[in-house]
Amino acid sequence: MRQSIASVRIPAALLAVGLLAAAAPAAGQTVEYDEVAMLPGPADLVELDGRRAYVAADRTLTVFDLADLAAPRRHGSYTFPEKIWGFVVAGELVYVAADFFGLGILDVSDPDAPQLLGSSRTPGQVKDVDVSGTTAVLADHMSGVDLVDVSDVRAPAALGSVYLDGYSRDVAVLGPRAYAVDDPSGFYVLDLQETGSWEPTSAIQSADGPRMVEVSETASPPLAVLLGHGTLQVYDLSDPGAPAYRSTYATPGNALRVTLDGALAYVADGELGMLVVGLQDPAAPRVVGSYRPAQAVRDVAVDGELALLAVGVLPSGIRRSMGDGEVIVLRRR
Amino acid sequence: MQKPNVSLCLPRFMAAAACLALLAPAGPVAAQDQWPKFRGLAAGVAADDPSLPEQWSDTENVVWKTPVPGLGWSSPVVWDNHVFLTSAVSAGQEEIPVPGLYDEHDHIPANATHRWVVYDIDFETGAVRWERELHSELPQLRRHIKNSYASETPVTDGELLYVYFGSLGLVAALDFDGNELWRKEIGVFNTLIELGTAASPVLHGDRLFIVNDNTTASFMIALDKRTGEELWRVSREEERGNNWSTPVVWENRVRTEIVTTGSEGVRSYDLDGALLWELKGMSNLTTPSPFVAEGLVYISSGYPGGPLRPVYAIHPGASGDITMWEEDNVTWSTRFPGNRASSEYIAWAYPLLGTYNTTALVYRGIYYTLLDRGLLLAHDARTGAEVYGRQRIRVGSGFTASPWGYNGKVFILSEAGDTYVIKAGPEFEILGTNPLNEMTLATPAVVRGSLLIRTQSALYRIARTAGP
Repeated sequence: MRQSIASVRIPAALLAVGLLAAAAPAAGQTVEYDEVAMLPGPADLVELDGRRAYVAADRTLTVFDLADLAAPRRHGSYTFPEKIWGFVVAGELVYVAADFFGLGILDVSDPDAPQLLGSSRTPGQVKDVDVSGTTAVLADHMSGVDLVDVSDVRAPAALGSVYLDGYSRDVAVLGPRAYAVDDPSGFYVLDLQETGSWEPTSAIQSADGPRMVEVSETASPPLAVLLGHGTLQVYDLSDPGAPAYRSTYATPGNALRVTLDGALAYVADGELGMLVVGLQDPAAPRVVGSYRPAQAVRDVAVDGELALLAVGVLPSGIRRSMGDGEVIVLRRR
Repeated sequence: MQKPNVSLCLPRFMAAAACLALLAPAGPVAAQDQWPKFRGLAAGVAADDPSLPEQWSDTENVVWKTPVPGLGWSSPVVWDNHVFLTSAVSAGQEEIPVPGLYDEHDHIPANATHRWVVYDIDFETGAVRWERELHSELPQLRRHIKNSYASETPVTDGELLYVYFGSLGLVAALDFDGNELWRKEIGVFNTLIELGTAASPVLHGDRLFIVNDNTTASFMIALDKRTGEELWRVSREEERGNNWSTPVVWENRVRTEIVTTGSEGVRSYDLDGALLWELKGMSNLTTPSPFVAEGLVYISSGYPGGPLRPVYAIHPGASGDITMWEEDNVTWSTRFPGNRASSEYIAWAYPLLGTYNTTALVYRGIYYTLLDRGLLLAHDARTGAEVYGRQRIRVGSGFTASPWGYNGKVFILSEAGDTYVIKAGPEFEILGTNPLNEMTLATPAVVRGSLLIRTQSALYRIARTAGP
């Protein structure tokens, strides 16, 4: 049953004055946003696909329709047996990294009733997922990087795994390659076409506590950004098989999450809000925008003119679900 | 008194004769046929014995299976016909241990009063000869969900059993009839983020040594094993309390020394507590225990989330600071296990070869590394030269128990209760898998043709109940 959530904007409106004051961009900033809606929580992670928002909180993924920003609508949700650490949207499918449950593939073609099409258990906690063609690439705490054939989404089949030296944290796919990070220092490149030999084609052991990796093909040059210890670590992917370190940018708020849109890095910077960092010159990141809501920003997603911020109490430890939070919808001026 | 599941002694009609032979009274037992401490007298290596089992399950080759109440990940120790075991028995429901390596399961409190218990189990029959409760209270400390309040393995000299419960700060000596001869309180201290305690006591001569690295005031003490009197104490600069390894007394060609590990460094002391040498450059959590083989002492620590996860093989006779690497100033440009290195007193070392929980095994000249995530590597124990690189044992199992060896085979027990039998030598080959279908973290004992494996709820005596 669809549910209007326009009512949640009433309390949000009470905060508007304060929010607008806090969100005023600093001099020289060129990327500016206005709050246009709020989605009810709880909310830990967000993704945005056109005018459809996906919000994960603990074990539940919920779909929202943002077609009418004045009246966002809550669609259906799906609850996994285990916590959601990460997910990626691919058309009408959502690939979910669901802890010990493994990989779950949801059909969201009917957003009011997301259906689990298939799943694949991996050795340990699945921390994140990305998809390249018919291969799902999983960051697994126990085994490293796991590869799963998802050509039949109703029957995902394990292809193999790649051992990482530390604790596997995240993966991101760019073309035929996967980029993976582990704690404390590893940044790896895997050639997904090298079937049968899953050893990384490149391994850098000088990253600083990376917990996330994001890649952007549309940036010039293509980029990978690692997030760790409150910093963005920027790599040039001009040679996609050999990332070249360019710079490290320490955010003021101890960055929690990051997403890339072209050469812009959108950072969930905790209590200092959302930060937009321009990476047009990968060697010299610069802040080009910011937005500071009343609550700490846990996650950020961007698509086109819209951005989503998952806000709430700052999580403690390794992305513990706090059972609270909500989502702010922003529109770029 | 616990009753063993004697029916398991006779899994098959054809096995009956052999089983009865196993139950026959044992004659005098040589010292080398005892298993008096964690990993036995030879760091996990047992003498070859064709009667030792190489295949088993929870019904096959089971001489007996004795239920063990409560939870304890200490290992069994064996002297003559006595199998000693410790456990902490809750009066209520506690959180169920979760195998594997994972985020977000740590420092749980106890829900109910616990009894700290010592069991003497008859080696031949599995019957509980006696049980002795040493203390009862609501545990003061929290613990990691995979830890227990009875993780320290006791030690015996054949006359007395020495028991240490770090969670109670209690050391006690019992005779083989279960009479308590002395006890000593040494304090209850938290470890890093309330993960609990685990380092076992060690014996040498008339002294019992205990290392207690904690977040309050880390120390090592030497107790008179006859009285419990504290003979000496040294402070240890291990403020983070992130060390769970058992020290080793190393009788080498130069001297006898006590080698201890810790996240702040390795320290070796003489028998009076004087520092002989030290080595910084360990992982930020230290669980594997130092051990002696091939005339060297082997040191490792390997928290996977740490930048330095070293293995060192050290010659006798070192003095002063023999540090090769320090964690704070390293940026590794090489991948696992890094470049082999050596120095005057360090026969060989790797920066990234260390394991998280398991202690390595040196067997027939090869140093076997069992990574907690189910990979086995082999290096020449004397030179460190690679024999073979990472070999996947099983995707999906965590490994905490340390490997052991006999009869030309290396045995690797997973947290799922599966023991993988690996061919010893330069070629990696899995020869078989022996399931017990229950969580296991404790390192087994191997003695007189039998394997004693502790699972979460029971102690198994495994032996060939039929001919080889």
